[in-house]
Amino acid sequence: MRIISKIVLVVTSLIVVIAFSFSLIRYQSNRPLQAVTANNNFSQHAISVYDPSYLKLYHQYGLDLHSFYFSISNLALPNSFNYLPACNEKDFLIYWSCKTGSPETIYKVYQSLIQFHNEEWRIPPSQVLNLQRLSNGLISTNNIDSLNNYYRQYAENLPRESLTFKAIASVNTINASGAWKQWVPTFHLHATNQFGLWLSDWWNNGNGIYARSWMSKNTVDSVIKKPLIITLIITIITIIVIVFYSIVIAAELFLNKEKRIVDYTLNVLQFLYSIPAFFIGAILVFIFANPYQLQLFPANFSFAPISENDSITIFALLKSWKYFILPVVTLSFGAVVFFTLMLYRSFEEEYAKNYVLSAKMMGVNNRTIVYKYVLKNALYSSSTFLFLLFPALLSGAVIVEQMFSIAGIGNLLITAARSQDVPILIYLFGLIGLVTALCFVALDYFQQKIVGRLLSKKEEKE
Amino acid sequence: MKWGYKIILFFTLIAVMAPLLSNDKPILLISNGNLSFPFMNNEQIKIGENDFYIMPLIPYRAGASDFNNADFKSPFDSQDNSMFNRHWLGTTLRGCDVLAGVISGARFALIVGFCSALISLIIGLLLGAGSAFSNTGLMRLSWLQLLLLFPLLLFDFNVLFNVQASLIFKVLLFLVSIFFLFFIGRLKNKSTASVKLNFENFESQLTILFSSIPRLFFIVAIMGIFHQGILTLILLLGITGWMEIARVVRAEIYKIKSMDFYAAAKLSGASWMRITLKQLLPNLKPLMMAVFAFSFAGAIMSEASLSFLGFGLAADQVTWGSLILEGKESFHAWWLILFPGICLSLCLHALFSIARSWNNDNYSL
Repeated sequence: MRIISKIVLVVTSLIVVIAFSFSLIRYQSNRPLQAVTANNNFSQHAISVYDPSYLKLYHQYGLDLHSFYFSISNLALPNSFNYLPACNEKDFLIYWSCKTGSPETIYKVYQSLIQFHNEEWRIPPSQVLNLQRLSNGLISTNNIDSLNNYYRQYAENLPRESLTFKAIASVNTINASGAWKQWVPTFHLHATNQFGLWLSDWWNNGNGIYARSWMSKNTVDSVIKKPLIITLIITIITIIVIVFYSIVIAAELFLNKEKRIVDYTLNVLQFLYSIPAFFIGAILVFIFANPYQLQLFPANFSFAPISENDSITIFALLKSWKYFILPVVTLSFGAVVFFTLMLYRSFEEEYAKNYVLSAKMMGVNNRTIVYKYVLKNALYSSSTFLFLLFPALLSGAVIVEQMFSIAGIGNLLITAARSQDVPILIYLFGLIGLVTALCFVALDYFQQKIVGRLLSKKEEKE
Repeated sequence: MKWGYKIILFFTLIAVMAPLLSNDKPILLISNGNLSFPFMNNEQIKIGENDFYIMPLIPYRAGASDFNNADFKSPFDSQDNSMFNRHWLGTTLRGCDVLAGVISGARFALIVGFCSALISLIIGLLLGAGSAFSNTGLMRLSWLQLLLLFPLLLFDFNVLFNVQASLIFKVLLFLVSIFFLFFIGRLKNKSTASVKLNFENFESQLTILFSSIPRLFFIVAIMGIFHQGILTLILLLGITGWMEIARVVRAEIYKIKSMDFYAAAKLSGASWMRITLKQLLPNLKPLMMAVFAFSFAGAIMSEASLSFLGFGLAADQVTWGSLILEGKESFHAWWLILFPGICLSLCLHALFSIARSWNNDNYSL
């Protein structure tokens, strides 16, 4: 009964996560529109903001038109001008971002300029030249100050006639007439409501914009498949390494008779616990992958045979064993230290119990007692750690994958977050949340069924 | 005083004194008989030939380039400046001073860690205490409150994200709406029946929901959508760090509630305010200190990891994580990895040892 209620809890949590991501998209009002126009083969220049088809898209995909206009007029979201097809409006926004003069706005303007660089601009050729000069200059300089200055100069040269102040006026009137609507969220709860559409997009994979990556235009699960497998392989190897080494280190430390060595090692382990994974990884790369030093193991996973082909074969996996060593060591380091300390503590607890005394009386070897009886009970008591290790490692892989350029889900998350690829982000989010929640349920089941049964058996015997 | 506190005090002093320790502007300037302290403001200054000035100990600003010593000068390399202007811990690719970077990193780490740990502590304390007291009738919502809760929250949410106003206005609006709800509850509680919300269940659901989303994943995803900055980072770290605190606080309050002195205080007719101030909080203090130190350390670790991934603070703000990131990309610059890494590990170890000293083995944190 308890398990069923837990599963119900997981489902409700997932629904909450999905609803949360939906509302996030709603409030990030511009990006999905680009995806819609790209997927439906609309030309970027063909329709205007004032076009009714835009309005239709807005209503269908749950985007708030009023907040869209509001964000333009206030420049709360500087990249909103991406979706303004008429060059006059673009000019207006470029001019405005120059006037505000914040480097970040200008940097965003620059990014979108690069995006539109190859497209046809309906502006005088002199301005095209100007823009090209600008973007060349921007690429060659990394300095944000010179970028700023460059842009200011550009703004001063801009002909004033091309800036339509009509656009500003229209935006202002819309704001004035429907200003109260920005304060009230609009939810459509009829048969074709936005949330339902959004969910059916996910279900009928590949039809809608939310089931496709906005960057690669492929379906989300085809994008995620290979990274997921690579991350799973690394995570499973890491779990095996963690469990094996922690058990061996903790048991051998416990069996050691020299108290001074044991105390010293425990103190060192406690210090090692506070060293972050990326520091360890950087040191390992510096020593073992450095062409100026040892150069024993490669640090760039993208050259491994496993990442070359689309499909993963066991042969390629075995061939690229060298590439796994540094990531696995980095990923497992902190967990090995933590689990060793934890196991040592539970060894101490278990060793004081009566069954150990009786085994000793029977003349069983101390090593056998620790490895055969004490270890089993200690592992039961640290089952929480073991069950939650898997989701923790999946998310810890973000740093390691970034460090060794492994094309796993952590790296995918970073690229998706950088390019604001929301469908991928939501999919990863949901996946990790589901895995963690299922691990919680499995842990609960384990503790209830197995540990609980053991305890009740013990009570019966007593 | 234990050494853990000494280390944290040392880093705090460095963080507070950072503009005095490393800066490219003089601390004190006397030009034409006028005394000024240029390090305090952001204005550009010109130093004449006859002016008297005192430069800081490290005459470099974090993140400012020194092109004479660019391209990774190690601490032991010969450098193109005088003995007093030496880069003691080497330079980066653009010639930025690493020591100045380490100092600025300490500042950011402590600010972000402290503030976000404080936010987590407040949220965790409120939720944990709320769920522990929910079935004694301390936390009750009337029907009217329940009806007004969701529209008010929606309204606040909309104002927070959709309306351009100052942050103070938004926060004030939020506080006013909360007080409004509280006021309505006070009005209604005496006359009509109220719903007893199962706050404990709600809190445990919320805890599971938040702990099922990994911290780094969550922050990277949100940072991709929203504006990157120190305030966003602090808020996100605070929002994602309260689960353990709430769990532990709830358990501790249950323990305190079952004790005799609590029952005695209740029987003697003490008000809930008095019970909270005199009985609960003093008994919660050691646990809260331990938990605070742990979440402080966790926030520092997360901030460094996020900076390492490039999702932390803005690009021109130097932190320990961003220094290590720069060191990772060049194979021979060991000083970029070692010094910030050692500072980070020392800081974390000091916080962990403080937490352990307060913990007294009551909880397996």
